[in-house]
Amino acid sequence: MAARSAASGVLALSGLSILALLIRSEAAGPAVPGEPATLRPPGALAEAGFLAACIRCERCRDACEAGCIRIARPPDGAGRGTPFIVARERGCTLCLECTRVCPTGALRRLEEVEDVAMGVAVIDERTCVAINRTGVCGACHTVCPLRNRAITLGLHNAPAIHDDKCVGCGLCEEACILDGTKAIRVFPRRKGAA
Amino acid sequence: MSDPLRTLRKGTQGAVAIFLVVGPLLAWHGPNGGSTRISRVLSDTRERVASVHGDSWSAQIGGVSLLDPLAAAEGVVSQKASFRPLLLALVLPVALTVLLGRVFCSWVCPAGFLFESCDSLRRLLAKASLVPGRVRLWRGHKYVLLVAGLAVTALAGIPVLSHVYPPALAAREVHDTVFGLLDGRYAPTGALLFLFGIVLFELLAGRRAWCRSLCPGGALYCLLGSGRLVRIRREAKRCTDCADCIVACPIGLDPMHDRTGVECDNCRECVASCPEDALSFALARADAPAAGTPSGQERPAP
Repeated sequence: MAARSAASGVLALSGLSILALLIRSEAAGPAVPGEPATLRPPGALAEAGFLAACIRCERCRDACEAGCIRIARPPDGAGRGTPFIVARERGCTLCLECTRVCPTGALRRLEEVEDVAMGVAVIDERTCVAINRTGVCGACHTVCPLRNRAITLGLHNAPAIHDDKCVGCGLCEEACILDGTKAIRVFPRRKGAA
Repeated sequence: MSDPLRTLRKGTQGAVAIFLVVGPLLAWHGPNGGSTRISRVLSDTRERVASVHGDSWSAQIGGVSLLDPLAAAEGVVSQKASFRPLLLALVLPVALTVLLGRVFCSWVCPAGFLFESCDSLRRLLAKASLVPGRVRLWRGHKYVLLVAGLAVTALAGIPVLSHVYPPALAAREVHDTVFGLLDGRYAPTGALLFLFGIVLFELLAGRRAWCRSLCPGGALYCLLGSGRLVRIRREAKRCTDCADCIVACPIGLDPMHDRTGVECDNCRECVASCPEDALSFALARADAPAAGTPSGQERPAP
């Protein structure tokens, strides 16, 4: 029996290690090719801790009121079974339901919208129509849940981001009127993340 | 032959299977998030079913969060920290397992349900001599796999068993398929191949071959339920040594010799199969002393 369990153990350890390496390498890439990193739902731990704590149960997606949480499935990167958000397609409405249902604390429980730190919005001043004066807009300011705090409007509705207040929900990126690459984009950034 | 508790068990399995499909349908918010009319109707429905969502791996029913003990073990081992809601979500599943044994496997597990649904196909294949018969695999493999899986999970910081544990995989595939078909992003993955593989294993290697010998979750449930209070008890006086129960047992145990041990999942297939009603549930902390079967003279004359 000792020989049998040793053989079985070696086989299981090597097989599962290979699988873990595969999952790890798959998770190293961003969810969307070309993006710098993966935007995770509110309350997510720093990436390594998040990948460890998430048990791939997908309850955050079921709970998501906006329907913005997607679950990575190859060919998506980001680690199969883990949740991510593509702000360009649909931003997070900060209902924080996902942080309440997460069973393992991979998404920390959050009560206040201000405590969210998913990312930060960055404006491309060359393409923003309000800044380059090719049009009149203000869409990002209108949809911002922290309007007048995270985004303020200047002369000719030119938006400005206050990155100490911006939580990275991505509603502005979704609302930006440009097709293709948006003039305002959310870059992942997490509190405590390296 | 009909046993109400066995019928209830089958009903529970069916309800879990239906819930796996209906859950994501209720959770879906329509193509434009919360902004379309249909999604408002859907979300009202969702409010009404309160917070019922998830699957056998992790679920929320009413205000109660539930976790598969394997999911919790992986979550704790891989992040090397515990989390209060996680421990609370364990209370009910662990308590039920300690009292009733490995009942998750026979009453809830969607993979077990899948295997059970293959029974008639497997019998058909066996009758046509298309399968090589039973492979006897050591039951200890599953404990080794559980320990190895938790070790790799701790070292790699990736809950690796969640990617090979059939009920978790099956539930995730059903969820992802329903969601994928609704939002048009469905893409088949390797997990589908793995699930197909273990169904093939069930057909070729024998009944519940995965559950008997390989399932890491089953191993954990066996350990948790080893001192279960509800056991199959045989009334030796009634037993005629017909061995129908041994044939009926899906995981190859021997109720006729009172040997069900830590592995029994209280599915009641043996109870339903007994022509003499000699088997029933009893409250006991251990199996009856292996007294063997009644000797010939105790058996009623034919």
